[in-house]
Amino acid sequence: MTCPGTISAAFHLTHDCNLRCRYCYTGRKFGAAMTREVAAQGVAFALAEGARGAAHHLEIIFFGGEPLLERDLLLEIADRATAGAPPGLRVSFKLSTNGVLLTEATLDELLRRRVFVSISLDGDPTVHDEQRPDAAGHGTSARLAAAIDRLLRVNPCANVTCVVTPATAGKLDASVPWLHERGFAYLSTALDWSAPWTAADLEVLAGAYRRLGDWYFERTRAGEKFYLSCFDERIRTRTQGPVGRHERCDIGCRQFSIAPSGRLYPCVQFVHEDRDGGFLIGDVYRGFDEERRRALGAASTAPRVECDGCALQPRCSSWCACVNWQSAGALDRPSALVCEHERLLIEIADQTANRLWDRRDPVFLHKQYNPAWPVLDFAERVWVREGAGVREDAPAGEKGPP
Amino acid sequence: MKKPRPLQVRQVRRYATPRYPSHTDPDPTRLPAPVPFPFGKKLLAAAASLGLVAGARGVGAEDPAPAAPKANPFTLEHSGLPYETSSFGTGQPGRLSEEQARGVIERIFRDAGYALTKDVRIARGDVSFTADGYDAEKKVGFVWVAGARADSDMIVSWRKPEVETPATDPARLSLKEAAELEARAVKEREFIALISPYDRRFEYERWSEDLAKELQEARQISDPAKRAIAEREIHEKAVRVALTNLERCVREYIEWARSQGAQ
Repeated sequence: MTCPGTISAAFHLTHDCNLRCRYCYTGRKFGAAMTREVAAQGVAFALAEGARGAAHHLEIIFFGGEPLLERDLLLEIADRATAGAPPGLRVSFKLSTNGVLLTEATLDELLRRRVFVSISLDGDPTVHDEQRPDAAGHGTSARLAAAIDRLLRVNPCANVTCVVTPATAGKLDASVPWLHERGFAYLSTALDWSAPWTAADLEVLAGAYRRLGDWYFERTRAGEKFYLSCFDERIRTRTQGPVGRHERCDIGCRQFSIAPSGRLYPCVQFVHEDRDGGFLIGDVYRGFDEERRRALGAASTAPRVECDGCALQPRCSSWCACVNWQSAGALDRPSALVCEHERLLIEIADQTANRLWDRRDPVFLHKQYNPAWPVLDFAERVWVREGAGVREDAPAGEKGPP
Repeated sequence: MKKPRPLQVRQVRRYATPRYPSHTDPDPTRLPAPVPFPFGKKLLAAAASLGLVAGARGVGAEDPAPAAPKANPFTLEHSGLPYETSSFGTGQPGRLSEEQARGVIERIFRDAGYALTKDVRIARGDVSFTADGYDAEKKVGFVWVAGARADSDMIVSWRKPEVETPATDPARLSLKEAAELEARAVKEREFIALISPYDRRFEYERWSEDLAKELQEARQISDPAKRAIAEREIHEKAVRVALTNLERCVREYIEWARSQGAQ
């Protein structure tokens, strides 16, 4: 199998974690970390896969458990991959962390290696502490306050991921603005797909999305530039077209996970406690089991006949086999939860976008239709610093956030 | 107590098309008029110097220098008419269907403020044909020069290219009438765009090295379902490019017509 373009390799550095998030899908927390030997072989394997697939970009993602529990190993992997990358293969790094161990020194080391940090935060302290306690059951939001400031100081474009559960669905429209006011401009929301969502829960969530749509509209009209995944990803399926085949993870092909043992899985969702042989697709020593990989790929891309004739099919994310599997236990069938969620969210996202289009809002237009937007946004945040409420380079008539 | 409704997979059969532009519509940041970038002037100047944005205007920027005079993008010269048929059917480029083209053309005219009536007979002295869309008040419209609208002399047979097939149908547009219409447009202040499917700018999948390479790569995919998806995406991308070219030309036509006195 050849997979051109970008290849993503997730290194699960450990099964252990300093938190006990209520919705975590990685299973029991135990201290089985990746050894240096496995890590070295994993790097060699990932680089070889990049070269074999004629990829131009290898993205290494550090995952866990909590990857910063193996901070030194993480840094070693980054150094090894950078040094070993062949000409023509760009290597980038991403870290998904709970942020509790993000000290100044660690951040400096990550910055030196250009590791992009994505932090998980579920909203204001009440919500966050309820869903993401530490191993002793204590809240962690207070410990994160300094880490957030440090992170945003060095990277104003850092991403925050907010997990939504049935218990917190009704507070999403408060959580997102709280995170935004905290300083995050790139906000990702993710449903806990494995939770037992009911129709009533989705009604509550729909109400929160509608209120969030009002917030999105007002903030955009106020000239604020931000990315909110739940709306922007759906709007994008219209403004830039459906997610192309080449953009999908192509389960096990463009993306794979390396468990601490060195075994290979098609996605982070399947590593769990590294005991499930059903989704194992090889290991870093012997390579991929191509037959298994192909079978999983075929199952994940099988046509969703239940979706035939649906007007939203080109825009729906039911193509994601992992999400379907998490919520309904099958790779090749659309999940009822995903279907209901997409139906309600696409409509709300479109209503919000329509309102902004009716006003020909320049921030909305350029964000959605101008390919230079991400670069300009990044440059503005990084190169043009905000003074005391007034931007140095403020456009005419604009003084900064209200 | 009411039983909770189970979640279910259910197709959405009808969904109102959102108002905001899709990826097949013209770029709304540039058409019908450039939208100022919501960034400061210093940043835009720096970005422009790096080639990241071309001619970007910041909020509050002065109006740019006047654009070069416009030209009619729908002349007979561009139209590919008369169309000479081929002796073979393979290797032909794809051409937009009337339905595809009309959808785009009618929308752009409508957005520009024209109320087009369908199938309007136009008779101006020795020019007689049926326009596909025409705004009688503003004297602006278009004709899709193919099929029922094109007279016999618009098509040349490959068997006997030297033989001119005479125009015979007063309801159809002939070559001579098309030339006459084009010549009189500015003087008469009546602007009817001659849009043809044989216009090379709106063809797609004309053979090229790049296209051949793309198709070859897609055909290497062993899985039939994935191969079909890849081939379909290549085709859809090509059609999108053709439609985008058509959209651009229709907008240019309206700009040109207005620059020549059209309402």
